[in-house]
Amino acid sequence: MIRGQIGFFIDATKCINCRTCEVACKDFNDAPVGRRLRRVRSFEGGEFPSVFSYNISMSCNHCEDPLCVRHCPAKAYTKRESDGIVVHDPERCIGCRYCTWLCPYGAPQFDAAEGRVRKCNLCVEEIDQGRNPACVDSCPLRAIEIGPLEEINKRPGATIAIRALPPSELTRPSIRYKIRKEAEDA
Amino acid sequence: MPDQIKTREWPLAIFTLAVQFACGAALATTVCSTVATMRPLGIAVFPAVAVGMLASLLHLGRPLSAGRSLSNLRHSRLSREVFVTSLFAASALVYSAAWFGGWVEWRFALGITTSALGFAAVIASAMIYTVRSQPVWNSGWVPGSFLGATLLLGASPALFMGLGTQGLTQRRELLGMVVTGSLLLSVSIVWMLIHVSRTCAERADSVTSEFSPYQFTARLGITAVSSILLAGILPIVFICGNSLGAASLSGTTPYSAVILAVIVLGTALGRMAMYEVQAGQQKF
Repeated sequence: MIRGQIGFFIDATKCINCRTCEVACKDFNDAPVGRRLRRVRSFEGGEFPSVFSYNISMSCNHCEDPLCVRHCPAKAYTKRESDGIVVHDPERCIGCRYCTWLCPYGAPQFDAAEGRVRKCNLCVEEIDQGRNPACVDSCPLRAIEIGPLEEINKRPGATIAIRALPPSELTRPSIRYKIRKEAEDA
Repeated sequence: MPDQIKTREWPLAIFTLAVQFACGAALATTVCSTVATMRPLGIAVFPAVAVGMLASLLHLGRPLSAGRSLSNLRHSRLSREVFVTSLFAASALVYSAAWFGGWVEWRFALGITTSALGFAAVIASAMIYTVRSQPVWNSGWVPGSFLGATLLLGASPALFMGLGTQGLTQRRELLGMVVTGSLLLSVSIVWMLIHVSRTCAERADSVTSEFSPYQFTARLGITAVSSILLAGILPIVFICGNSLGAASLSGTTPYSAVILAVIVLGTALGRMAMYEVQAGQQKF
């Protein structure tokens, strides 16, 4: 792990699927119609009367072992040494879309009009000014936080072993959730 | 509808099939390097690679920046594929020129070099897909289908051209390549279907179709079965059964053109099935 790696902590037990984080991210990044750099998905399961649902909000997880950085042929991705944020440089992007195949979480999204990929950059311009990303500040339930991943790992209930998410060993995402019991990966 | 389904990856299908045909044709014509009737096929090797590489540019969102794809040779499988395929193309240019110009004494050595680079390009292509984050592709059926298509697409026209050649001694080798390619392709497609169903069962939550699972399964099944029939079983039946007689299957008859078209169609369907299964995966 990069020393000082920044990660997300999302309290999914608070998330009410209002999607304010999606809208704030879209607005801040001027994302076109059809592109959601942050996505909230609901998962449901169980049998009556023991039914459950939970919401997972996710953008780019700025993984510890990002396949996009390793395999981008144009070197359009870099992982910052200071905080581990994976930044995508649209000027270098050739629109090969290989990163959209590589990312287990669907973070890079191809913009056909521009001919290149777009991805959450953790609002690096805001981070460098000492401010929070748009999703963090916009969440009305304060369910989304960022901080040093080392500290986040110590939070009670912090986990990435969530049902329906890809195995974390693939890329070691820098995100942890607090989830309901039903959402735990068996 | 996700972009993958909208685009269907036609440029990549053309690229992989064209490069694999060129590699197979280079190998088949190297085996028959002294047979004059193989000249058209030998000349066709470079144009096939060129068509494939041009088609691959259509896949890019910014084709004019394609040169930047060589920026990460150290780590990127895609950079390496572009590099190796470019080497193959350069070798294919010289090889095709050798057939065109009648440089008989150089043909075999050039053919060996070109074939080796071609197989390196095919393997480099297969490695693009066998990444751990693509569970349905991360399996031996992908390189198997690529190698099967290489042998089948390259050796079939050589076999038909050779059947009409008096005294061709390499008939058995060409037949062996066609049968091996057909079997390899058929086995790979069946393997694909088994692997996809197992992967979906194991990871149903994260590998789900964004549209009707029945529609996805039906499309995949029809495509895969058609591919096996056309590119796997029919060539073997026609060629090994030899029911029409050897003379009828030579390059000078319409039957060979039909069978070649069937083989190409079947192989193309198999390739589209490969992209269909990726399109059916649901990313978060």
